[in-house]
Amino acid sequence: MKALDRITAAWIITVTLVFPIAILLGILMRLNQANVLELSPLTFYSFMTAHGLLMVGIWFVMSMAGVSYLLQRYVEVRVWPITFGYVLTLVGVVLLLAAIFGGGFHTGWYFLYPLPFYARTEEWATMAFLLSLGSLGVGWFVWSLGLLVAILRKYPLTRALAWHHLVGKSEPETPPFILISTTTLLGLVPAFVAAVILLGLFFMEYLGGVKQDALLMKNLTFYFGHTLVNEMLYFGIAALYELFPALAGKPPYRTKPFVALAWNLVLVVVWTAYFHHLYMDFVQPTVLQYVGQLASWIAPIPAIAVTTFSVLGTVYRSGMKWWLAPTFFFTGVMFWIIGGLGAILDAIVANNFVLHNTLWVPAHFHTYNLLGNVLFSLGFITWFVREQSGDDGSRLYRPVATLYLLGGAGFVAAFYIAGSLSVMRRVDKYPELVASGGVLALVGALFAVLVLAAVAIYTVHVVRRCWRVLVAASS
Amino acid sequence: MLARLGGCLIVAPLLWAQLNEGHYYLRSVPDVPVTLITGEQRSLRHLFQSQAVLLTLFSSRCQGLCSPYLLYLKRELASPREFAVVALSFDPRDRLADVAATAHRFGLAEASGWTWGLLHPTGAASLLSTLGYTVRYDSSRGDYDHSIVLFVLDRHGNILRRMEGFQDPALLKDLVREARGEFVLSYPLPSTDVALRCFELDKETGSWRLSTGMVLLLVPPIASFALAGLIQLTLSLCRTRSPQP
Repeated sequence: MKALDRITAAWIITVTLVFPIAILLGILMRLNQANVLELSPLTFYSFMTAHGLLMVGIWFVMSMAGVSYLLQRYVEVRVWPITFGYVLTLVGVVLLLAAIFGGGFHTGWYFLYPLPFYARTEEWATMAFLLSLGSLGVGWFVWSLGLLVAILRKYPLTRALAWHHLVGKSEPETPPFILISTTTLLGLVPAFVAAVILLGLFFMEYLGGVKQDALLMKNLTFYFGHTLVNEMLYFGIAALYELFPALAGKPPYRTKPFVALAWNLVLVVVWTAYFHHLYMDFVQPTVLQYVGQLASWIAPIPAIAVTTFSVLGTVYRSGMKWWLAPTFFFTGVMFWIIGGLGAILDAIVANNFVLHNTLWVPAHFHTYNLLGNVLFSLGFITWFVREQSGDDGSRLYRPVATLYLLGGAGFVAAFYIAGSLSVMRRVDKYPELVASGGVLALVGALFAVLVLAAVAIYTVHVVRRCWRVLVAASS
Repeated sequence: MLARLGGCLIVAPLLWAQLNEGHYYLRSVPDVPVTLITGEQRSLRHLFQSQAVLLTLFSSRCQGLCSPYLLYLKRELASPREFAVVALSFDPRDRLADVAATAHRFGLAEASGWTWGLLHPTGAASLLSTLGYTVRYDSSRGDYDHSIVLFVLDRHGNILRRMEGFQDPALLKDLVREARGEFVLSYPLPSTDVALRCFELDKETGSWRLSTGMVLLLVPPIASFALAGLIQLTLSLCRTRSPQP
């Protein structure tokens, strides 16, 4: 399917070119915290906003592009929703960068109400940001619906969710890839609906001056943001389930009752896990805090447990040839466990009061993103490049894998240590009381440079080959 | 709920310009020329470059609220420390002698921390516009209808607070703390212009109940299942109607 090859190659080129820029913004922030650089607070928070939103955005679309490509193995995939998503993503990113670097928009990636009305230097930046969110949201929503319709054309909903497997039936089989993709796509819909409501309320205040309820806005923001970040990780897992057994020379994974149970639990529980972001909000009804606590355990643990045992079982006595793709997938799962545990620790109410405003939080989310979700997508990209060009990047294996994993591990370790020393997050400079934060920021920045080097090498390799796919498909 | 929402949409824009003090937060005031009662010519920026100021505007000829308001400020602010009070006449009919006479009448002409002056007509309009200070000449009374406002400006000339009219002295104390550089929590007061609240509070009994905002959180998951069901139903209907191969 040439059109699908071409749009997938376009996604890969776009994402791998933006990735090093977003890393560079992160390094500049850490160097500023280390007092090596002197950025103004406005510049720092603009970088923080751009870094966070770009990273979440590009790896969400890449994980979805991977699933869109692999889905053609099972169902007929229409390309126009993906292309529509691509165009609106580009529009959204241009508006976003204009708001941040032209309008001084610097709310951080959470853009918590009422910051979008204040954290800016130009009044139009708020409108540009809201339009950017609207463009991204519409593009991704249509894309998600396109994939969901493609699945439901062939698999009735109950079969796509593998409910018959839950009661012990083994036929007709629902492939794990279809199960995970369906639960993830269904999980995304409420996130987008929450975003639509959120945007509507922002516009009501921006255009009509109608004040909003801060608690409602925070709930909606995390309903959207937290769920989106969770679901993009699950897209990565779907790609792993599809590709990893074949890379190990093993038969495809099958949907067992416990696998079906784990992913159906994920579908429902992930919607309420975001409550753990509101532990500090004393006005949130207490019952929701309990729900958040329970959901924070129930949502990730079955998925992590099932995936980890599956992956370890696959590797055991497989004679796996370790090239970049399986290495990315395997290490991604291992770091997902570490990051997931860090997140679960933080999501326990008693711990959250100590950890939540410290660097422990960027520690765990960088672990399961930079060293988890991103690696799943890089695994897919590497596999895609080999499929298209026949080049498995064996020359790059040692330098890229070593630099990326060593750099990534050192980078997040600096965050974890700083978090355990109560160094606060979201500040551009550290006070004397937590001066160790500055030293650890420098250590983190140096390790991040290793990641940047690996990504630069990898990007050149990938972009050249994907460009050929794009040109060949066009001609 | 819809009626309330519609009412808010219609009424809120009308109230917004006057009541939404947060709208002025961090606005930078223009650096306009000012003549002090000592005869010195200064720029407005010069008055707040060494410390935060509480700024108020008045007219020496005002037959309305200016005098009681200046008395209120004198009583509540006493001798300012770590900030200054700047009182400027916006009235183009005022002369320096009029402003000085007003300052003397309140016993504040030489008071420590108080600065009195006259806005230059060329800069007055832009300053009043930035501050959201409304002035309208009423020819039948031969006097101005105008706002009564106190502003907190930081050392860069940014508006930190804006307080309209006579308020509880406790609120005025918050402005003073803000001017001294303390962190003062700020939030909109409960009012009818909030669209969808998570809670409703009964002020009489102190009891609360969940409201439409919380109910709104149920919409996304319900919409998700409804949408999936709708797609499924539509596809089933399409399959039924299309001829079997």
